[in-house]
Amino acid sequence: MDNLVRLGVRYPVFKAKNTNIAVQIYSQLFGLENTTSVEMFDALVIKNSHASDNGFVLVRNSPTLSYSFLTTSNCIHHTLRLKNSGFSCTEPPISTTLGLASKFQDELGNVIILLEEREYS
Amino acid sequence: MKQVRVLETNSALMSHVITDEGYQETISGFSIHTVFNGNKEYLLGRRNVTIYPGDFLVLNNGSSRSGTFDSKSPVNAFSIQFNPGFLSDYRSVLVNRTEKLLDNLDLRKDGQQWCPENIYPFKGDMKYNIMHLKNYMDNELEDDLLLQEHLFRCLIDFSKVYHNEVLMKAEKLKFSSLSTRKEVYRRLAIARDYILSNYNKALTLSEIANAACLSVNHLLRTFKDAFNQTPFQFLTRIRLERAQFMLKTSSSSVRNISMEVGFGCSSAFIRAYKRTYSTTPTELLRA
Repeated sequence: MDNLVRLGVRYPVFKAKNTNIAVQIYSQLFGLENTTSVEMFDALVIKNSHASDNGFVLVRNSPTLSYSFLTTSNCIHHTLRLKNSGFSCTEPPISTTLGLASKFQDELGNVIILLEEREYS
Repeated sequence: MKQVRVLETNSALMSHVITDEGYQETISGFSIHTVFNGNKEYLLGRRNVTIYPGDFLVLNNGSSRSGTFDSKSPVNAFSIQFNPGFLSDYRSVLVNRTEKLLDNLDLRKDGQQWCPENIYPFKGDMKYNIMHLKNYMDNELEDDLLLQEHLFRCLIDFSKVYHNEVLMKAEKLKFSSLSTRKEVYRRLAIARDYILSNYNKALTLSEIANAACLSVNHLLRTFKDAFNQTPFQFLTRIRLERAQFMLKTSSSSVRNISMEVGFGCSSAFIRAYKRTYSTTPTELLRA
C-alpha cells in the first residue's frame, strides 16, 4: 500500500478575500498565462490550461493563513520578482543547510518561503 | 570569444572562451576568476598559480596581473571585476551600523586590499552564485539590478569562504602571537596554492617548502595543524578530485587520467581511488 507521502501535495494553497485580485497576483507569480478555474468545496483551483502540473488554490473562508514553501532554481531572481510584484519581503535570502531561502508575506498575511535547494556536500 | 558586461556601478563580468594558446591579459582591481574546464595560469609577482575547475582565484586591487593558459582545448573562463567603490560600499555596510551608513561617504572611494591573493575552493553558495551569473551572461540578461544583487551576494559568499578557509584555519595554528599566526598561514596558503597549481607534477616536500619559504619540518607540522592533513595527503586528495572530474567529463582512459593527474602508475591510482571513494574508476566510467 502507498504511504501517505507518496500521495503528494498538488498545489500551494493561499487564503484570499478577493479572489479576482488574488487570481491575478498569484497567476503572475507562478507565470501562468492561460488559466482554468475550478470550484471545489470552499476552494478555487486555478491551473494552467495546458500544463496540468502547474497551479494554485485559493480558499475564501479559511480560518488560518497559509505557509507555503515554493522551490525555485534561483532564489535571488525570484526574490526580486516577488518584491516587484508587491509582496513584502520579511527575510532577505539567507543560507540554510537546505539552500538559499527568503521569506515573504502577502497583504492577507499568507507566508511564502522561497527555497533554492543547494547541494553543499 | 569574450563577452564583457559592465554594470552601472562599473563592476564588470567577463565570460571567456579562450582558444589562443598564447593568450595573455592584464588584470587590475579586486577580481574573482574561475574556469569550467582546462586551466588558466596567473603570474602574481614572482609566483605562478594555475587554476583548474573546482578552484577560484582572488586578486586584490592595486597592481596588474597577467594571465595565460596552456590547455590544448578551449578554456571556458569566467571572471568578475569589482569596482573599488562597490567594494568599499560593501565593506561599509558590513562594518558600520545602519544609522552610520550615510556618514563617511569618502571611505567608499578607496579600494583597499582586504584579502590574501590565493586559490580558494569553488563550492557551496559561491559556486551557485557564480553559476547563476554565468548563466545570465550566456543568456545576455540585461537586468542590472539583479546582476548587482548577485555581485553583492558574491561578496557575502566570499566573506564566508574567507572566514572558513583563512580565519578558521589560521586560528588552528599553535602560535600565541597573532602576527606569527598570520604570517605562517600566509606561507602555508602559498604552499597550498603551489600544490594546487602543480599537482600533476612529481612534487617533493623540499620544493613545496621552498616555494613557501618554510623549512620542511616547519611545513609538515604547521600544514597539518592548519589543514588537518599532511601536504602529501592534500596532494593525493587533489589528484583524486581532479581525476574524478576528468573521469566524469572527458573520454580519456583510466591509464591516461592517472598519468595526467600525476600518479606514477595506474595501479597506485586505482588503489587510492578505491580507498577514498569505495569504488573503482572503471566502475564510475561504466555508471
